[in-house]
Amino acid sequence: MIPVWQTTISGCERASLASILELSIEEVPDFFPAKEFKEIYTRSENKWFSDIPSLFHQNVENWLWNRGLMIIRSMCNFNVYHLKTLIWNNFAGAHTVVGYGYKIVHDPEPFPTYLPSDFAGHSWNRYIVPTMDCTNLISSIKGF
Amino acid sequence: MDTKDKLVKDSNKIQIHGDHYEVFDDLLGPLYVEDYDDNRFDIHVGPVFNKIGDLATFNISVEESPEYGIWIGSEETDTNIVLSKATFDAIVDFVNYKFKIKNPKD
Repeated sequence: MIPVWQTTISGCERASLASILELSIEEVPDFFPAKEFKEIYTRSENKWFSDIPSLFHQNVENWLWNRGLMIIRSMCNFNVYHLKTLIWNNFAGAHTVVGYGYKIVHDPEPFPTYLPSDFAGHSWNRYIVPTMDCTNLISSIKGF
Repeated sequence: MDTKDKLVKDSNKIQIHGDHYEVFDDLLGPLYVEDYDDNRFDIHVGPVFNKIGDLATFNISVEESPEYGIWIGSEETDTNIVLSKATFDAIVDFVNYKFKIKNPKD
């Protein structure tokens, strides 16, 4: 894991993925560009959190799949670098960081204005693993 | 020999014992696997130490669903327990053995 910092307000997922896969921020697509983020945010009257998952996560999973990787979701904590999504206390949104076990080992937000207590006590973890038929691709991906 | 059978043959972590499977954890040794149906299996984990130092034994349930894809859940919902990479690798081996992983585009 090599820490990478987010460059846009909605770029925490992109930067966390880059950190785990040991890629530069430019090598990971902007899965949720700021323009699109703003449109959904406005259209859904600030209830954007419920509109994001299907669109956003599908883009992430397609990108991983094309590299021989897939996501396993869990609330269990394993000693493996993973995407840890923290839910805000008011359930108005979420923030993705890099986790290892139950710890946050890298927060891609360069200038955080929040406190750990701003998040609800639980997190959603996503583990990146190789897909069965793509083992030949894995050696070409940094970090594996 | 299909892909699944080949994976069992090649894996040193999955073993068939009559009516059940075992996956091997480098730290904990063999873990008992109950293979339920097409979309779910359970792994009995433990004993492991939780954050306050108690020994715990519990079940991990692994499901494949249209909503969440592959989901690892714990019956105990004890998020204080941190499981090893060896346990995770054993679970991933069995996930690859059991589920025919689908392209998310499909």
